[in-house]
Amino acid sequence: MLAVSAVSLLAFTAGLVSPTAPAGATAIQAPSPAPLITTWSSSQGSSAIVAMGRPNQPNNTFWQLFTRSATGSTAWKLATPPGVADNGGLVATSDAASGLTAGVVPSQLLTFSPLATSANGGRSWSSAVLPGGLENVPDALTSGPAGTLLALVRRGGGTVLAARGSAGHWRAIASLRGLAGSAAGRACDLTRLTAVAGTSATPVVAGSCTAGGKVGVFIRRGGTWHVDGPSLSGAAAARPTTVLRWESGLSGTAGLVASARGESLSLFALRRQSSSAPWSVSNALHPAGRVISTGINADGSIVVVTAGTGARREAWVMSAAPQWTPLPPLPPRTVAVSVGSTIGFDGAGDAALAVSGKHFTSYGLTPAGTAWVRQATVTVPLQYGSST
Amino acid sequence: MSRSLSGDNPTLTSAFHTALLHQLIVLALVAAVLAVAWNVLRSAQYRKAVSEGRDAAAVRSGDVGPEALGRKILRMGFGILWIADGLLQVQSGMVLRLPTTVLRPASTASPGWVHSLVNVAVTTWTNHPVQAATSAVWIQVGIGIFLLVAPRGRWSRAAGLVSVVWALVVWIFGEAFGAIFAPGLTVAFGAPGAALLYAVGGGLVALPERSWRGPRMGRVLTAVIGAFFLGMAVLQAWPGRGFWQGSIGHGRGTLSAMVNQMSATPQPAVLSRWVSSFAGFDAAHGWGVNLFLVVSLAAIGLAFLSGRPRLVVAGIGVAAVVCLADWVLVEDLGFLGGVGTDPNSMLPLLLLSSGSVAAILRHPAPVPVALAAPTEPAPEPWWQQLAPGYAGRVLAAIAAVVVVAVGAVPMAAASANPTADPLVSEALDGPPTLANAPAPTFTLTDQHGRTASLSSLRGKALALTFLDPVCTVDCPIIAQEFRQADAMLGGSARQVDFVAVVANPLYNSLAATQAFDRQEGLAGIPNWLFLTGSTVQLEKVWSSYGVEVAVTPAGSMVAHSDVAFVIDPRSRTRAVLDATPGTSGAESRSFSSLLTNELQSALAG
Repeated sequence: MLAVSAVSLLAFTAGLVSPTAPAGATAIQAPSPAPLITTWSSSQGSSAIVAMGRPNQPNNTFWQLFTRSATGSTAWKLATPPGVADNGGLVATSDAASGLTAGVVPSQLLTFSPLATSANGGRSWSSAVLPGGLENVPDALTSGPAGTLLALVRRGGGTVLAARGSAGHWRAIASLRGLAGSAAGRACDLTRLTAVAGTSATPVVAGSCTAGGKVGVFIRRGGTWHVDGPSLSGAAAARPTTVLRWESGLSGTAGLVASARGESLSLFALRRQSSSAPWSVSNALHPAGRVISTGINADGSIVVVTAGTGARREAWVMSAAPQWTPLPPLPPRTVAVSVGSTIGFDGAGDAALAVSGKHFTSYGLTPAGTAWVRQATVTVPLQYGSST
Repeated sequence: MSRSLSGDNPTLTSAFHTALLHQLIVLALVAAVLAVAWNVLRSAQYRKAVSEGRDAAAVRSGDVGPEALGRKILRMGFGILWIADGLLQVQSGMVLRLPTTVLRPASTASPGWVHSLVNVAVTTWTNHPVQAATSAVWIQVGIGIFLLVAPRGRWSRAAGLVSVVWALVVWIFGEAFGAIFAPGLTVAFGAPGAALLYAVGGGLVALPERSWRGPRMGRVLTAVIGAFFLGMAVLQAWPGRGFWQGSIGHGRGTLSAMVNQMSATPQPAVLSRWVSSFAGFDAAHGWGVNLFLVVSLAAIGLAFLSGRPRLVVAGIGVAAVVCLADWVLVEDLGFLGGVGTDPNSMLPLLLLSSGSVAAILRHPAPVPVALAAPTEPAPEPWWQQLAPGYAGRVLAAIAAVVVVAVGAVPMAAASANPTADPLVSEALDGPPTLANAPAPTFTLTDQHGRTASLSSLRGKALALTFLDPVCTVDCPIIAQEFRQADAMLGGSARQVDFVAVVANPLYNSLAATQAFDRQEGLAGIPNWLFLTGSTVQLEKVWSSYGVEVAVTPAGSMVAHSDVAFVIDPRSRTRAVLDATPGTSGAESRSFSSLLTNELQSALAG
């Protein structure tokens, strides 16, 4: 009877106690990194990485790489490297010398990233593996002169690996822990690594900073890391930042930075012609919704697709001013925009890329540049159920 | 691509029914032996009595007075309930679906430590589904028979004790403590757990019978049960728990949502309509329904707490109405849907309440202790002193204990055995295909860059499979199954090599095999080989072993056969196993057991 009474009392009091979530500290959080959907263009042509299939089923979402030649046909071709499931995502980088290098973000029980390189724009590939899993950011892989590769992997919260060629020996050259503990990292309160650029000799690593207004870009010179990014001014001076994209090459440096406080997001495009030149910072872009995709070209032009009101999507491109310029209203289901390889928006060679299930549709601008017209649809042979 | 066992797998269902039948035959033989023993005893008593010209009947000391009505209600009521619950366990769906549709959901909203306890039961059941399912049948049927037939005194009390033990096991591991640590607790839906009520009933039967003599037991029982009902009334009335609202926003209130969920259980249409209608009624009049429930529970509680016979009788009347209505409209009888294990809590609660009322209204008078105690040793042997009825009940109780043991011993063995039954894997992938043919030769490169060929591995048994080093699903699972089999072999592992051949024409470098080995923790295992070669070499091996490998487009994995070959030390293929992984840990462990058994057979020749 005592036992019954005890259990009854326990049941009674247990029933009164509702599980409550512990009070959480209001921590400053930097904006989320850029999604993997991306485009980029160079003198060789344009490329795009998009997710296709069933977006609410991770194992039936397949990431695809499309390429388009700079000369001749405007047709986009499927160039996804074969031989591995890419449900986790696809990251790629291209360089005139070393060609196209793609890396698969691991998913399910795979923990390291298969790599593939192509010297002919994706028509054929050779394989390699990365001793780690790529981070889920579009600039997790970058290629530089003489075939050097830099990769941002998940190991230890974020580690940068470098190798000469994808099949070369990989070595760690930076980590989140190391950078965050350095004087440069402490100055901006570095919390996450989100992009790699540069070369193994002068690597550039970018990330999220919670110290107000500081843009977390770091370059290694002389064996130590130095802050290489500007500080934002105005309202953004008090807000945490995240580097969404970063491109560092012969024609200078360009980047896309997000600054946010709660739901309020601002995007800034940064540009610098050389390491000694001053930074030019664009006006703030305040999108109505989240960032859907980003594109950054070798010449520094930047395009952003964001969610608008309802199901609308909006696209903005950074012009020479630097000033954000809106593109004409996008076709339905547009996920990315590829801009031509000239600074800003001039309509030539630009494409809006829409995805629905297995169908990839490209749209080009009318001669007046005020509307999009359908160019072609590629039906991709997705293998639903193959990753279960 | 992985497969999963469906709810009614024919292999497992057939094995379950076959095991039940075999055990039933054994129990029938035991019963027959005991019946013969009883007949022999009776015949000997009769012959001796006739030869001595007297009546053989004698009263064994201690067998005194009628059983208290309250105790009898509990003993017989819970005896019948246990037998019914045991028979419910015979449903085919129990073998596979009990862990996933009953055990795991019971602890969903409970704290992590409760999950861990329930997981013990889930793991035991999924590792040994046939053993566990048959055990549950016999333990419960045995306990029910034990309660019903055990003679008065120590035997009957032992029956009560056994039922307490098993009921507590079920309450903890099967009912997650009756979900008392989860939100939404209500007596209407089974709080504090039907199994706990069975334990209480068993505990009361286990008390000495003298406890039931006199009014004290009845007063204590009605007071405790009254306090329980009152406490549940307060809990039901507590604000902020969603019971006062039939609808909350666009959704249903707590009770309405629970009842609506029950109406979706597979059951006769008329019952489903009743339950669904009640859910709709509660959604529209939640406040009124809850008020009725609170007032009823409080009234029953107060009536029982008063201890006055008239009020107690009125209380049991109200309790009968409320409990039966709740049993039908809210608990939906509890045992439907194909995996119903018991009729839920209202019937046991009503039994306890009725027993307490009977104890307060009708109780035997205390009996003098020294009745019929002989002062001289009885002249006849002990078996001559046994009344025929008593002897028969002792033998029946022994039979019931045997029934319980037929269930309890395998259940205990299953709980202690982490190795899953190979039958699970056979149910998923079919039994191994037996063979006795020379294994096709191969010469490839291992993960260390050394040449390895079939002939170089002669003298050891081989488990050979085909793995894609950049696979995201099947191959890591198969690799771990091979690792488990290696561990299960124990000392015999020295005579076995576990070999994988790359099944991807594009990712076939040493770097790829080494990366896979690191990922799977295989890098340091001395008898593990991951072999690769040029695409031409690999294609030759795939072809000779009948393995299909196809590169599929658009971001998909390379498709390849999931198969394992068992090759004996003379390089002869002895068995081919379908290695398609299941979706549960038990299925993986079972495949490892199956592979281990086949390797041991290959070693034994």
